[in-house]
Amino acid sequence: MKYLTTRKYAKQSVPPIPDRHLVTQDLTVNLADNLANLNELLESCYDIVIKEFKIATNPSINASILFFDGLVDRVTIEFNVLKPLMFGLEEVSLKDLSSYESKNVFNIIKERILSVSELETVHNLQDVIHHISSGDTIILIDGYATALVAGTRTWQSRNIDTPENEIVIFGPKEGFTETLLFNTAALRRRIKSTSFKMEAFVMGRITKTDVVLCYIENIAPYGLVNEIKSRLDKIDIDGILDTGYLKELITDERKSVFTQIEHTEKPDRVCAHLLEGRICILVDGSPMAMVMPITFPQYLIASEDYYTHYIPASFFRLLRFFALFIALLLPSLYVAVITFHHEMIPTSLYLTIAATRQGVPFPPFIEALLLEVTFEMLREAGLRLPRAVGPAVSIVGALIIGDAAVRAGLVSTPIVVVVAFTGIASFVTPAYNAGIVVRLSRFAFLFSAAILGFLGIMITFIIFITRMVSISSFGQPYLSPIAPLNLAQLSDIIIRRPWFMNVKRPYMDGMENQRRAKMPHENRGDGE
Amino acid sequence: MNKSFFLSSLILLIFLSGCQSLDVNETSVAIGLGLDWEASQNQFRFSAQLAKPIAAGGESSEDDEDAFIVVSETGETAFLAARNLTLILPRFPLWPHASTAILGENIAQKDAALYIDSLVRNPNIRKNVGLVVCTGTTPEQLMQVKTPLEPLSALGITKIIDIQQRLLGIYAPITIGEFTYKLSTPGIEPLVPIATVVKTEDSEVIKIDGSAAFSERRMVGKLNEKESRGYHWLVEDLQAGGIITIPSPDNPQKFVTLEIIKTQAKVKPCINDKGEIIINIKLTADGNFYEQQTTEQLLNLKNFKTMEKIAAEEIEKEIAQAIIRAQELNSDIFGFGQNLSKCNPKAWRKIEDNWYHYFSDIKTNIEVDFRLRRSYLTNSSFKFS
Repeated sequence: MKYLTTRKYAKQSVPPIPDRHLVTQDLTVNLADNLANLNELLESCYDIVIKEFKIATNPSINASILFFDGLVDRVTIEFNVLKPLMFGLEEVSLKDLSSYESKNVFNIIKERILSVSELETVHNLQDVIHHISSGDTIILIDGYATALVAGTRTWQSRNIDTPENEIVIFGPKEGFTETLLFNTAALRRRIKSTSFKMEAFVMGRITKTDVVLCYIENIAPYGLVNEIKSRLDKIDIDGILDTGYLKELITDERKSVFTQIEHTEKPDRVCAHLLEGRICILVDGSPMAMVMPITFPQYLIASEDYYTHYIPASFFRLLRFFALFIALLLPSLYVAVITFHHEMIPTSLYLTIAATRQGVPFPPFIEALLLEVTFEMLREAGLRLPRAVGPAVSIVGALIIGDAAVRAGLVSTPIVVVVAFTGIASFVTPAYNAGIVVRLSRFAFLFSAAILGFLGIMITFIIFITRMVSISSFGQPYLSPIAPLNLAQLSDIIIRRPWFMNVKRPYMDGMENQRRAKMPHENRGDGE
Repeated sequence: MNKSFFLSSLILLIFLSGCQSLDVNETSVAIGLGLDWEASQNQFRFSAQLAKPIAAGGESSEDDEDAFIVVSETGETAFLAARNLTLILPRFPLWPHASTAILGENIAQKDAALYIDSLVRNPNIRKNVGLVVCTGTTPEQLMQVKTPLEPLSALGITKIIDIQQRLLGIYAPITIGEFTYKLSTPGIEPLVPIATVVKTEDSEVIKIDGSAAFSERRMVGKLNEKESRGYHWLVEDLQAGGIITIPSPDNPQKFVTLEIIKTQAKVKPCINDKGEIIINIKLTADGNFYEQQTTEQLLNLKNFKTMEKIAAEEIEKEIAQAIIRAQELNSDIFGFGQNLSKCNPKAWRKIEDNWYHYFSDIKTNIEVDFRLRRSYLTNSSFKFS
């Protein structure tokens, strides 16, 4: 495996965060100093709330709480933090204060007063800043160089919804949201095992984003988990806003267009991957989970395959393989046949094509290129368009480009059919980013078909395959199990293996625990 | 250095290739090829039936307009004549789509060496192009005639030959590949269907009428319909289809039609003690009862046997006729010589050089076993009350 280097970042001088000297400081016993420091750090932060108050002991102690508005649960703060602190201590002090050996107000507050489930202590300003940024409430008490952190995180978030990009007919319809906690919960709810591990990282020099690495111990290869951890450790970047940032930073072949990591919005799909020993990374703020290592044939697998009966599922999977080749090769095959290999199509088809091409000013290659680019533009525009104008684009696309261009004699009809068919085929691939690879490669095939016909397609195909074979995804050959060939695993790639035969997990380098089920006859023996 | 060398060689490889690209707009598809000999000029005449592009969308103007044009040019060689077409044609002719090659009578009766090379050597002509000889007219005129329903008559000719073989069973189709094989193999000669133009009152149609027997590189004569059928029985592969009419067992003036569902011929030559070559032909054929003209109940055991016998005799007669005709023409279309060379190579080597000396005296021993199988929807005869 290749290891990541962080040299790029080390060379450049990262502009220092201005209050760096303050951040590293510890808290002092003096509340006024602490507040002064924090005020300086949080200057021009509109959303900070600093509330100074007195703890009702005798004599009263100055204290203050700090939080970012909008990230906290106000009710919790008011009823479980502020109210007990301001009024609760009186009752305690009357009865028990004397019995406390040290009369340590701080400990009493921590242990007896605050009715919050998450309570921590921190000692320096850096941690204080980190916690309030995350939505916790900081309680500073005069006379103590320690701050109490009450977990009051809560914020408005999007509801858990059906993923818009991965639509299924059968199976769970739940999708990830932007909130990390909901996402981890969605996974934990599905895998109720202590061997399901989620390790947290904080990444991003400025954003301090929470990143969680999920895997199932004993299934995920130990070496792979360590490798990914070490790759994550080496990342030094100012911010991580989406899983897409990490993806390019941790893959083996960063310059390759072939994606080696799958993105999915569906917790059930992630769990299926986890159960096969793969590793998932969740990033706070991103509704996409990253799963690795992924090899190319796996992009053709839809999670739905495993929820439907295996015979139709196998049929659809074969259909997807067919569609992949259509999406990749059809326009170039058409161009090659029409430009070079006139003898390869039936005479009547040739005559029909010849009739439609009469008076068309461009050679087939230019025609195909024009329409392919137009199709991609339409697709791209369709993604970005506000809903209200969406239909307008489809009308323009269907009528103007499809029909009027043919009538105007700019393009011939067969190429419109070919491009439309290819367009449909390219969306059959369940993984959107694998579809992108196919779409880009199609242009390479188109060029080579225009230059050399079938020979050109062959050459490009050989280059294409050679490139795919040569790369690896976290140590997994990118075309496995097709190359290197593994027939046992291939039976779950080309078709969908029925569950009663699906006894073993797909093999990964270093996997120890490959068996996932008992054969049905084994069950029968002890069940009856 | 290494990388740039690799890259530049790759680019050179791509751009210095010899392939020519050819736009569909600049091509014309030849469906039929015609070769004839222009005796007055002592030159080849090459004609081609070029298909017009079929207008999509079904805006049919088929009836008023021909779907094809016929062009022709002359030249000293067949190939030159073909290339001379570009003097009058603003399109690039595409030969690979040709489905029929038509040999004019004049050239068929001349030496095959004159034209065969241009057909065999040319990579753009498929070897499975059907071959016909046209008599009574020139290939150019033949291709001008439309076949009913099939807009491209050259395509129509091949289809006619294929369909009649399955339904009527008279002529055996032959391709350029088979033709050249039979021409070049000692002990077998090609038999090519003949296409002619038949004039009716208001129109002309193409009809397959007889077949041309070749011998020693040239067409030597014609076989009529009966004799062609006699030849068709002996085509060695399993044959299916075709019908045969025999005299009715109860009334020789009336006929019974039988459909052939399966025939298989085994031809085995042998040399007897006197040194004579005897060809044993054993034919097994299965047929169905298809039609009767009388009202007599024919489908009983006695008549069945009689009909089988009559049919067998009829087939035997046809085969014998064909063989006699071939012997007259001195053309070994049945491949008896080739058969002999397989069974008895030693004997064949002795007589190979003057095979036609022996061929005309060959005795044949024909044995036909015909079986009636089924009678379709009714097993009784139609009675008029």
